[in-house]
Amino acid sequence: MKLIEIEIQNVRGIKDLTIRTDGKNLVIWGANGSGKSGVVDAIDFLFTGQITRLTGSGTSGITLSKHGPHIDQKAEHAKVRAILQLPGCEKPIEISRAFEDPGTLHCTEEARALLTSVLSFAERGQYVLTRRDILKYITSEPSNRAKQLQSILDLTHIEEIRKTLVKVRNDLKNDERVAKQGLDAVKGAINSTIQAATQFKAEKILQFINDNRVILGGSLLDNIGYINVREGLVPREPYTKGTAVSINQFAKDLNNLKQPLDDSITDTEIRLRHLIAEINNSLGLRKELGRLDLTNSGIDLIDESGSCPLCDYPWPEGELRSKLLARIEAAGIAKNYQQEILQLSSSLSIIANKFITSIRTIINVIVKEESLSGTLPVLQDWLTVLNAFVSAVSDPLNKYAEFQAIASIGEIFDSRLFLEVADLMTDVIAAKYPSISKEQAAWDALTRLQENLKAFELAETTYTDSVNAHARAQIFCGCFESSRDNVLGALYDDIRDRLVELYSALHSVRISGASGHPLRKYPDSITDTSGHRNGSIRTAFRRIRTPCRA
Amino acid sequence: MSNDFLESQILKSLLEDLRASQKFGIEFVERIEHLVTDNLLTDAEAVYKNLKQPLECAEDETD
Repeated sequence: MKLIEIEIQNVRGIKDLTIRTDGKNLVIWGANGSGKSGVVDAIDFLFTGQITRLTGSGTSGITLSKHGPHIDQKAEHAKVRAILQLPGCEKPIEISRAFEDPGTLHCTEEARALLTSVLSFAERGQYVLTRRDILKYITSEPSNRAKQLQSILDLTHIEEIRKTLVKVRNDLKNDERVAKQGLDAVKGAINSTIQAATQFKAEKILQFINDNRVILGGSLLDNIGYINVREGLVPREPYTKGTAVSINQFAKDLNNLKQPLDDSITDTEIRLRHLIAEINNSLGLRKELGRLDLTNSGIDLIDESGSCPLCDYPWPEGELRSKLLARIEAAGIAKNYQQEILQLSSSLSIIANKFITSIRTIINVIVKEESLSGTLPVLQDWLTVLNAFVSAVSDPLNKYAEFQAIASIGEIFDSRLFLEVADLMTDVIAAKYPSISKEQAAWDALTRLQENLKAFELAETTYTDSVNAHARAQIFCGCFESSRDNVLGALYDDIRDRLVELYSALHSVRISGASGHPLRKYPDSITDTSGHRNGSIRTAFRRIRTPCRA
Repeated sequence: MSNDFLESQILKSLLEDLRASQKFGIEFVERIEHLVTDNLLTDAEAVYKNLKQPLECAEDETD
């Protein structure tokens, strides 16, 4: 929108004034009390029906009707009229407002429709930038400029959006962590079913499926999918249906728990412990890793001011963010440690989950046998230790060092107490439930594996979706912050350049370059709030060749 | 204050950046456009739901 002409009658200190700007920039200067602010007040009144300077703190007893019109005139003689050029509208429009009816803007209906967004914008008072506002902006520390800009322009909504996006991104990151734990748990359950010693390998699962399919006279499969596990086989009733127990499956779960501690488990745990110890013993690594998390969080917390989120130190604009990003880049070794630790802890989690699955299955069977009630605490205690272990390895750097001081890996997977009661369990269950054919056992094994694989597909989909959702949130958040910085940065540069231009024109001086802090380019007089010392007595106007961009 | 000029500029720039990134395809950008249009970017639940929901064109997701 451009101001073509404004006519002010009896407003504040102005009796009768008509200014033709023809859409050009307008600079008003003059001595104190010469009426400069009266022009701004008149424009404010024209668009909003009020005068911002007469409201707010320190204006008690001041009213628009009494203090808006010229001191010698009554409200019915005070009014403002303007001719405006609106973008996309060839013909200029005329609007006016009188102090005797400040709530009514006089214009045609067509003009009113065109003015909707302008009036909505004007209601926020953003265009009323007093000298104090402008000085606050240009004298602000670089790190504080964006905040000042936000304060002047009332951009709190932008900050609310940023905070929301950061929160959602953190929630999705947590979802990803939980989904990974779920996936590890299902992998452990599959290993329990196929009696895999340690690692989770697709070929072992396929081998297990085909071994059992051969027993049932089925063809061999070349890929794993929960739907085709029992494909082409003659359906059988699962022996485990109802209250019956498959003694074969029970024996397999018992066998899972009887296995001596595999060397690879010990090696994995030793390596994990070694890495954690190395980090804890190395101040540099510990700092880097600590910083890595802190730095990632810190970047999230930097607001538009660019100041340090912890101590509010006013960093120059963008410098703290750049420094932190460089630190993340430099923390390459620490990142490698972090990745290996995550892989090792995930392996241990899968192994522990295999034990957990078998223990839970056995508990479900023996809990119904009164004669085995004495064996329950052994399994329940073991389950508690294993669950604590899984929880500790899910956050290895923070929890595992503390946990391993309480229980060693040998103790966690120690089956000695269990072995003391395992035979009794076998005898009682074997006496109650008859043995089944190997075909029935194969069918039951495939049935259980099919359930595991179904859960695996779901857990894997959940995990993949979580990874993607987290990635989407990261990109979304990054794009938003980058867009905000670009737009506000461009606005700041624009205002700075225009101030430089206006100052040059007013003082007939050339200022080389247009970058850097504008304050450094101005003599003291521009920041002197006592007014323009060399101004003429009367309010004067000067047109600047740059067209108005607002 | 969805009509704010600067806010709309930032959001316009955001959508352009997302389109330009070509990371997740048009479906993702459309979802964000809906959030912007409905002024829901400060509604954590709505944003979460839209980011969480898998994209139909899974091949667009490179991660």
